[in-house]
Amino acid sequence: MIKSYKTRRMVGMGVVYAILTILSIIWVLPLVWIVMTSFSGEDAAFIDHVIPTKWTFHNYVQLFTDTKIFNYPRAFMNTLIIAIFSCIISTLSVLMVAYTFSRLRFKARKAYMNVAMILGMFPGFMTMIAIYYILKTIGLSQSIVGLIVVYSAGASLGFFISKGFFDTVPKALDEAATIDGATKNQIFWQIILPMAKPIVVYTVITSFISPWTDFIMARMLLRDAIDQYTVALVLWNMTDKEKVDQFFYRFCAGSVIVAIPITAVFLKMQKFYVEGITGGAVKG
Amino acid sequence: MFGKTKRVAGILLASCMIATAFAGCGGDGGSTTTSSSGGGTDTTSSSGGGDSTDATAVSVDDMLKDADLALDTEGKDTEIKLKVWAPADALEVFQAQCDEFVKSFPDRKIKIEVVAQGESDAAANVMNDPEAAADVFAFASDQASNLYPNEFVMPVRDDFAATIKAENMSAAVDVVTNDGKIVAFPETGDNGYFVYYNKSLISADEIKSIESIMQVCTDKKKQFIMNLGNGYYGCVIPLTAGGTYELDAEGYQKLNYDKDKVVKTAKAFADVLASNSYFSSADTDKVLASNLKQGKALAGVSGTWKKSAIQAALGNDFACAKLPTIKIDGTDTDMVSMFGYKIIGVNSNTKAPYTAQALAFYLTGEKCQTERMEKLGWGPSIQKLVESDTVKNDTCLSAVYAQREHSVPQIGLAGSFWDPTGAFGSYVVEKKNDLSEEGIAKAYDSMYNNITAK
Repeated sequence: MIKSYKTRRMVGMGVVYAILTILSIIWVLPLVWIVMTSFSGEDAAFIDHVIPTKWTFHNYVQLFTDTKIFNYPRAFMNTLIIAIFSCIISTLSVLMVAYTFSRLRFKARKAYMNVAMILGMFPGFMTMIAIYYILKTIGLSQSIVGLIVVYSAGASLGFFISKGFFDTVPKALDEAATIDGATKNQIFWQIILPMAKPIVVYTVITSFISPWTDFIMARMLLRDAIDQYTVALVLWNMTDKEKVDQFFYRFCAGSVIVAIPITAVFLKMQKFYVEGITGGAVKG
Repeated sequence: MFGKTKRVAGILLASCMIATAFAGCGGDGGSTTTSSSGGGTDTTSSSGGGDSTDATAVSVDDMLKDADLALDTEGKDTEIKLKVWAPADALEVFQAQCDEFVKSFPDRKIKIEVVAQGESDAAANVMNDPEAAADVFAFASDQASNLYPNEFVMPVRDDFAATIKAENMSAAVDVVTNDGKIVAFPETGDNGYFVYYNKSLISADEIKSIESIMQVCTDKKKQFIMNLGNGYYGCVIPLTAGGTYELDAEGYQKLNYDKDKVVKTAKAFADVLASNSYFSSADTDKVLASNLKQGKALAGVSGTWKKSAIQAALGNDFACAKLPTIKIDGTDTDMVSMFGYKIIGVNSNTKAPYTAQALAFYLTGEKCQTERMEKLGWGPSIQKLVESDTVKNDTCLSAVYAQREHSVPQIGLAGSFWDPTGAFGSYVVEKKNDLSEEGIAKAYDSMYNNITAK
């Protein structure tokens, strides 16, 4: 056995770092691959070397300029609109529901929470066919408005995490505000929300990402309404067997661009995330 | 206290699971009901569409001249709106052809919108929701067995049907016939596969037999790719042995295979291909164009859907040929393939059955097929056009039609056909398997039983 503490520590750290390095390579490699491939100027789509021999920005240019068969810019805008609206609606509803369950006491509160818990166990796509026919009846199928409704309608069921966070905010603050004459509504907006920034950020990010990356609902609902297509559908169509040779590199470029809004939202929100955790109720 | 909570939770969970199970059934049941109700409505509308009892053939030109014959009273008072599904890259051609159709009837109000929809998805989308689907849609013949029996497509008027029968290749008529009635319009006669090759690496003579292809491959150290692990291509083995397939009355797969012959043919395939490292059974839809482009492969088997990609990859060296022959018991035997057709169907739910049928008839007529052949390279289904010079001078189309002579139409196939056939195909070309006659016979039995299992 190694006697010296220092060497033992070095070896231990070495093993840990080796494992971490391997894991990070496994994790990062697909990302590196797709980014590299998106800048590839190779002629053939399926090649047996990983690093392209020619580099170009052409794939990105074509993705946004050659819109005859696949209109990526339009799909990007559609997805952005869907994601932004669903994000606003579901963030508000999730936080309000969470506040209600955390602070207000009413009949059947427990029962409601149990029902929500059980409903939350069902995967969303289970009711896909029913959702399609309901939306068709009210005339919202084959449009992005319908998609916004789908994504935001069930969102508030996911209030548990936010409720858990609100429960940790001291009730004494509410009571103090009530004594000062604040209504429940004012307490929510002016006391609880500023205290709960991390969870607001968390809710915003999750409710932005899920409509942004969804494929199943979009495919189910939009069908042949090409001008309403989202990024996921356009990218999927690019890999069709007739198209893949021509569009493979544009597909990679399109996949890379998908990451930009998510990253932007996260970077913007990160500031509040940290602020929320470090900030307290008592300002000095 | 705790016991009770646990019990309640247990019951809740159990009922959840049961509910999930039933919900699954409910979803399925829901879609069947819709499809059958769709079938219910179209009986009435189809009788509206096909009321002409005399079966005198009406040609496309006759129809265009006589608006009453073509459209009945549709579009006289209220505007008719039709939606057409066509593949994205053919959108412009179809839109132009539809505009031409509208112009032929100046006194009628018709509006036609062509929407991009791949032929492979079209049938599924029609079946999911016939009401939201296009009035006139193109689909591949392998979808026919789903669409016809459930009456998703409207039977063709007798006077149009007579023309279709007279003008099209007989196999193309077969794939649009259901229960002795013409139910759709043949659109192309080219949905099959054949050999693409690089003519700077292998000559037209050498591409004729698999033995010489593999010889050249070995000499030049280049690949020959055929995706035998996929049932669509793998069926070449039993079909070359003279096999055919059909559906029995209950919709199960029936195989008319001669086991000894299939095993012998499979052995011949194994002898030529399995031991040769330059044979690849990779997915041709993915790699063929790329490998030809990079010079890794000299030939491969794929279909018309890859034409533009491979043409772009090979440029002047682009060439096509029918599938090669293979030596079985010392005689060169032509490989027999599965051959599909593309079909235009009229949705049973259309609100304008006359106009939709007339449009489908027009789109599959001689003029439109010629236009698509010249502009898009689509192979026609009309006999006269198949024999035309345009086909003979086109390397791709002439290979398609040469292969068609040795093919079985892609109809009468159940879903159970594909995977076992592909598994058998990949067994035969895998060196590590037992490739003696007994070994292959065992693999054959397992394929046969899996396909015909009820």
